[in-house]
Formats: sequence, structure tokens, C-alpha cells
Amino acid sequence: MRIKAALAAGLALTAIALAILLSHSPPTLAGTNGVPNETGWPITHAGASVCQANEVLPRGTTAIRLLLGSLVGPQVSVQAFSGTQVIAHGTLSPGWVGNATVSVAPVPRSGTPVKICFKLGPPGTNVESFRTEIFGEHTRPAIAAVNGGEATPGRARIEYLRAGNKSWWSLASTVARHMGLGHAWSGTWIVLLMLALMGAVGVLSSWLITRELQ
Amino acid sequence: MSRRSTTRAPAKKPTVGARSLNRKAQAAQRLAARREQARGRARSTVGNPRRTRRLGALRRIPTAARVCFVVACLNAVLWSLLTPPFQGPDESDHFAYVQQLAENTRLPTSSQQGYSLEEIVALEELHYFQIRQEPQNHTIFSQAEQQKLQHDLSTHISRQGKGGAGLAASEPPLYYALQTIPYGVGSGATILDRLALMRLLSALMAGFTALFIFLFIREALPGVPWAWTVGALGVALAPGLSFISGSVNPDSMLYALSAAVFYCLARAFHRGLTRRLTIAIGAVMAIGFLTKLNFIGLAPGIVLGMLILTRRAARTAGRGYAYRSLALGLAVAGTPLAVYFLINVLSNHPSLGLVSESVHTSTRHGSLWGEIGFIWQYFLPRLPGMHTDFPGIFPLHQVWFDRLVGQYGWADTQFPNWVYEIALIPAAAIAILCARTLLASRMALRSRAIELVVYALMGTGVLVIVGASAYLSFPLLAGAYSESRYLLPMLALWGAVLALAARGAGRRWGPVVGVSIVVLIFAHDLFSQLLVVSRYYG
Repeated sequence: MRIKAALAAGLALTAIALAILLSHSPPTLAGTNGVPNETGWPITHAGASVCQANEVLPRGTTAIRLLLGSLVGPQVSVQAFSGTQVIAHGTLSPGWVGNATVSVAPVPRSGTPVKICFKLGPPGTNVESFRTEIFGEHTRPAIAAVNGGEATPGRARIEYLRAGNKSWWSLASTVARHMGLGHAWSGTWIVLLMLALMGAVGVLSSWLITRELQ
Repeated sequence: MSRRSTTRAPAKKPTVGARSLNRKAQAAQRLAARREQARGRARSTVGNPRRTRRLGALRRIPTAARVCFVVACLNAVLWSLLTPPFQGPDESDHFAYVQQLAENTRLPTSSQQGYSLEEIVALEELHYFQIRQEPQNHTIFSQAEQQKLQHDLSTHISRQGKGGAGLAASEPPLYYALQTIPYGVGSGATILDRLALMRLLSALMAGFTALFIFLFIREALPGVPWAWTVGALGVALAPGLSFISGSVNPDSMLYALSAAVFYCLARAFHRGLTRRLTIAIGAVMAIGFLTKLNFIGLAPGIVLGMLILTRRAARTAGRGYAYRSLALGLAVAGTPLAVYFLINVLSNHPSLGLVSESVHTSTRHGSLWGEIGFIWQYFLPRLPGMHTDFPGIFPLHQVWFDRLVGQYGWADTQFPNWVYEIALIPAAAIAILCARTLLASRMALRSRAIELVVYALMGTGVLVIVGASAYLSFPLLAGAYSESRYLLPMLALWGAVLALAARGAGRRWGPVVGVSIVVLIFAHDLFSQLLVVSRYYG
């Protein structure tokens, strides 16, 4: 009886967590700086901030996505300046791979022009060990991002995210349609097959633990 | 054959060095055997004797182990459907290797990406290069793109590559040779159909991993039968295993073989090393060497285990018998490597083929002490006096733990940071409960210290191989080989930890904690799948 109660409670908690998660909205793209992701270059100046001026920070931004590359990303601290005033800031823990998406407190109003600065690692970190690259496009030095007072080869692509207004529930049919594309067996029915498989895994596991652990 | 013997195999003669199980463990096993017997009474054993023997061997596998096998297979199949084509780690290279074997009946000749035109077209149509390691980009999302994909792949495009298989080229051929079977079955279909069939073979490997881990836990921790299920089911539901086994990747077979060798050694430690078991261990080693080079990491531990077991065997079965068995086992294990070496030397190729090339072309640098320090810091806290190789980062937590909790796709799909912080709580609870069990059974542990040393050496070997490989590209590239999949050959030990943790809650609450662990891992699997859905299709 105790086993069945624990199982029921565990599954109920999972279902509640699932329902809460799916009622949230996925972040959507609020805007980008329009810089294409064409090339990459390493961040060379240890411990120095990389700053890029003339950015537009959209209203409601909740995360800033920097197109960086690293196998083991160091800590990333981001600050958005309007003049000398910091209008958004956030920190991403180390260990990330691919892009660095740094959460910030929702930005109340759009800011322009804004300077985005980001710094890798806590003070004293030798960033060269992490071999972190910036992705964007090569530009003339006057408009390029600046690293430790020196112009970098170009501007980095930066994307601004904000909370969407549609929950995962309301996006379910669109997501299901996407899942049916680009596979060996196409069609939305594949989602039903996946759900059936997940159900089978859940039922078999539940049956087994109630049988063996009684 | 009596029902008792079909449920639990008696130790075969000569049971060299067999260590008798303690009374409590024997009683528990008898109880488990009786339960199995009662459940399986309806099964018929009549038929021809050979078939009956084979069926008998299968029936000795407990129902719980078979269910774990099925659960792991189904879960991996689910992941194979979920993960977009070629978005498993290095999957495009692994596919190219199989295609090279199947279409040209030759091994890859270079580690360049000389894919076939068919694969290149598929990768382009699927926007593979835009999606890989670019988590902001999703898979194709319009019917027009789908129709173009289907149209282009259904036309006759060349399947002949230039002999390149990227990173996979230096790997041994066995897994890829097996994959030519589903490739051949789907030879009349599109590349995506063939890839899907190949993924199903990998999914089957996940089943064997869970099955062998059940059997390993049964041998290594015989005292509490219900805990075997907790450990094996926990592994069967682990999203890391299912994700890799749901893609074309020799790691899937490596996990199954690692689990098999852990099982064989545990069996030998508890029932004695027979000649048959020695040969079985040798055979698993041989298959492992032919599957993925990382298997070499397990070899020192396995060889130490065999030596210790042989020494024990020599006391009861005679030195000649025991050492001849060892020689036979090692010969079986080493034959494929020796043949490979000989063929390369006789044909004036580098002695270890493309492996030698990749080692020679890697940067050789630093002192031995520097390398040891690097490997140490890659997995453990830095010691005083060591050079700081990972400034501002604690790899054990921020690389290995986080990535074991969740890292999918081309290592580009991760949970938000807070998930990894919260995951520390159940992980700590499992560690404390496991430590409690170990503390309570310290007397038993002392008598099994040598066996534990062997398992520890096997685990250390896996870590050293990963760390040493990462050191080859350091400091130009810090954090190479930092994917959690490289640690999964130790899944058998993880299964044992889960079983011990459940036992740590005591007789009254142990099963409840066991259920909680399984449900937690099931939830982890579910939320990992949703993460992947949001990454590729959201």
C-alpha cells in the first residue's frame, strides 16, 4: 500500500510540475542587432570587458543571447548601459556550451542607443584558457566591438529575448506539426506514437516497481 | 531441469575461489528464486533438449531484468524518434562510416568529412549546419521544405563517399559493421529511413545495457532483491543513456559491453572464476576493443580482476588449470588487437591505423606531472601545488554534474541554470543514503575490498582515458571531451549507487525511497524530452 501511495504521489507531482511548465510561455525573439552570424574570432584580452555600442534594447527583454562559442564556457556577466546608467544586468554560471543566454530583470522601456558590455569569468580569470569565440561579422574598426580598449575584428551578433504571450499548451498543435517534419516517417501521427511509447514506458515501470518492491 | 536450477544457476564446477554469500543474502536470493518459480510455473519446458537448454538459460533471467530490457529499448526508441536526424553527437560521421562500409566494403580512409552526395544533400535540406550548435535555430518547419526534402532524397543520388568519416574514422569497425545490417535492410529507402533503422539497432543496445546492469547488481549486491530493480530501472530510464542509444553512435554498444564486463566480473568474484567465464570476459574485452577505443580505459581494471580471480582459482582448482584459463581469456581478448596491429605493420601502415595518426597529429606537450594535474582537476578539486588549469570553474560540478543532469543534441541543448542547482538536492540525498548503506555494511565491504578496488580501477581508467584525450588539445582548447556520454561506461556503478541509496533508507522506508528514485528519474527523462522538443521544434 505504501509503495502504491508513493508511486501515485510521485506521478501526481510529476503531472503537476508538467502542467505548470506547459502553462508557461517560451521566450520569443524581441529583436536582434541585425548582425549576421558569418565568422568568429577569439576573445584575447584576459579579464577585460567586451563592449559594443549602438545597440537597441527592446522593451520587456528578459534575456540577452550572445553568440559565443566555447567548449566549457566561463562565467559571463552582462551589463547594458544607457549613457552611464546600467539599465539591465545579469550573470550566467560557467559550464555553458554554444550560445550564452544571460537572464536579466525585465527591461521596463526600450533603450537606444545602448552599449552592451560582457565580461568573461570572475576577476582574475585568464579567459584565454577557455578559448571563447565571438560570432558576428567583420566590420571597420570604428563600429566594431571593443575588447580591453582595442577594436575587435567586427561586431558580435546579439539577440534579445522576452517572455512570449502564448503558453506551451496553446502552441501544442504547432509544435506537434513541426515534430512531424524532417524525419524518416513524417506526419503528426509520429507525436501520438511518441506519446504511446512514453505511456508504455511509464506503465511498465510502474507495474514493475509495484510488483518487485511490494 | 529442476525449477530451482532454472531460476538461479548453481556455481559450475570447478568453482574456483568461490566465495560463499552470507546467510542473509542467500535467504534473500532463495526468496527471489521462489517468487520467480511461482510466477513462471505455467511455462513449459518440454521440447528438444538443446532448445530447452537455451530456453532454460533465457528463463534464468528474472522477469524484472527482462522488463528493464524492454523499458530501456522503448525509451531509446522514443528518443530516436524525438531527436532530429543527424543531431546526435557526431552522428553524421558515424553514418558516413557505415555508408562507406556498406557501399564500398572498405574502412574509412581519412578523417576528413568526405561524405557521400546523398548525405550532403540530406544535411543541407535538413538545415543541419544551421541547427548544429546553434540552439536558437530550429528544424524545418514548413510543408514546402518537407516536400522538397522528400523530393530531393527520393531522386537517385550517389551514395559513394570519398572515404572520409570525420571523427569516427579512427574508431574500430565492429559497431559500424553491425549497423550495415539495418542499412542494408533499408537500402531501397531514403537515407532518413536507413538512419531511423540504424537508430533502432542502437536502441536495442540500451536494452542490453539495462539487462546487464540488473544482473551486475544482482551479483554484486545480492542481499536485497527489490533494490536490483531500483538500480536497473533507474538506468533504463536515464535520459543520457536513451539519448545516445537513440542515435547512431558506437557509445551505445560500448555501454552494453561495459555493463556486460562488470556483470561477468561480479559473477566471477561471487561464484568463482570458471574457464567459461574467463573466456566470456576475454570475449567481451575483444568485442569492446573492436567497438570503441574508450574501452581500453576499462582494461587495466579488468586485467587486475582476472589476475586476482585466477590467483584465487589456483588455490582450489590447481595452478595449471587456472593459469591456462587466464592465458586463454587474455588471448581471446588480445587477438583482434594483435591481428589489427599485424595487418597494419605488414601493409606498411601506422601500427594502429588512423588512431596512430590522430595521436601523432595532436599536440604533444607538457610534463607528466602537468598531465596528471590536468586530469585530476578535470574531475576532482584542485590540490595545493597544482597549476590552475580551469580558472574560475569547478569541472566536477559545472561540467560533469551539470552535463550528466542534462546535455543533449550536439552538446548544445541544456536546461536553465536553476535546474542544475536544484538537481544538487536529490543528488546529495542519493549520495548520503548510499554512504549510509556503505557505512552500515563496512564489515562486509572490508572483506570485499579487492573486488571494490577492481571496480574503482575500471572507473578510474574511464576517467583517465577521457582526461588524457582532453589534455592532447590543452591549452589550445580547454574542455575537449567534456561530454557526459564519455562517463556512461560506468553506468553499472551508477545503478549500484541507486540500489544502495534505496537500501540506505532502511527496511521500512527503503522501498518507498526506491519508488521515489525511479519516479524522479522518470520525471527527469520526461522533462529532458520536453527540453529537446522546445530546442528543435518550439
